[in-house]
Amino acid sequence: MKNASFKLFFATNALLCLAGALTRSFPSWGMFERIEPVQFRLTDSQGVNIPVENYLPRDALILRVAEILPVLRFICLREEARDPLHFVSVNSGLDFFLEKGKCEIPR
Amino acid sequence: MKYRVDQSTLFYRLLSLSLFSLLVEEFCAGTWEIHSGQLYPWRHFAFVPLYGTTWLFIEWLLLGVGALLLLFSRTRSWGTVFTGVSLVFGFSQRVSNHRLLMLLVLLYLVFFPVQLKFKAVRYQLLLVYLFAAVHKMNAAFLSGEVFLFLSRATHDSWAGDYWVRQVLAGPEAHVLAWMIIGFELLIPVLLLRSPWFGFVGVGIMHLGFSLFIPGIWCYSFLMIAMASLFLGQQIGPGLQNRNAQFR
Repeated sequence: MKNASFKLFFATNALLCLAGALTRSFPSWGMFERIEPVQFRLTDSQGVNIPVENYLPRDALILRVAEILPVLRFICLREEARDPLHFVSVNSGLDFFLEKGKCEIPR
Repeated sequence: MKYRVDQSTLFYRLLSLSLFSLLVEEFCAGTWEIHSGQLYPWRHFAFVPLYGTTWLFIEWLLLGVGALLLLFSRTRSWGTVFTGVSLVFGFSQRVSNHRLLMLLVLLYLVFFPVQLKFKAVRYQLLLVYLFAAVHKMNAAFLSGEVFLFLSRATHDSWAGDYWVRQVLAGPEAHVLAWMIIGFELLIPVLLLRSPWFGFVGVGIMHLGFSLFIPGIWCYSFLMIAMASLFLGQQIGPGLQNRNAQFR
């Protein structure tokens, strides 16, 4: 690799980072710059609280409500005996049941 | 007796520390349980199948052996190849900024010519700081609101819940936000102008982050390793800062 191609590589690298910062459609180095208030409650058919963090690795940080939705399906499939599960997140305006057998997240 | 270590040895030792930290953090976080199906595959690329524990064992073995080779071998080429392959495998299973940065550094070390590879790592560090600061220049971050939400999302940090609430969710969170952006812009300047101050600044800032956010010790050690490449060729008493200029 010559110096010119090295410079071209890093110029492209910097432009991609800039595009990521401006449009958010490219990967860039945004770290914890935006976090949503994620407050929710997941309960089983008896109203017993299900701690979502028990189904996640210990270093998982839930920074957006959208990140929690696929986890709910995973929990629902594993906890069929406790269906239907009830998910409520007041600050995100979400309130739905995960039905027995299907475990589909309403759109 | 004078203790001297050359720049590349220091860099590879810190890089090994970062790779070992990654291994320990992944083991402790429950990555094995993810691959055995007990935990949700967090930050997993949907289009690459999640592999089983046998492949995870091979991935970790490559990472561990590679990190050992980087620490003890003289040429280090096999160490960079082993860890690079392991990180490619790992990135297909668990996406994160620190994994991506680690992968980029390893790719530079494997594929770039000898005279350019450290220069590439230095450039990359400057880009990370610059764009991390640019991304944070938004109202939500500057108000300190982000820290309040982060304090709620953070569990099991080394600082403990009390200090997480005091520092992250305290009334001065907006000052902390401005300080972080200021440091992220100042550190590249320090690394270029007075590398030792920059190096110490990187150490303090990232070890501080690691106390409050779980699972990022490997990222902190990686940033410290990358910053060490701004120091002179000979490090220790009788330092001759011959190579401190950014070239």
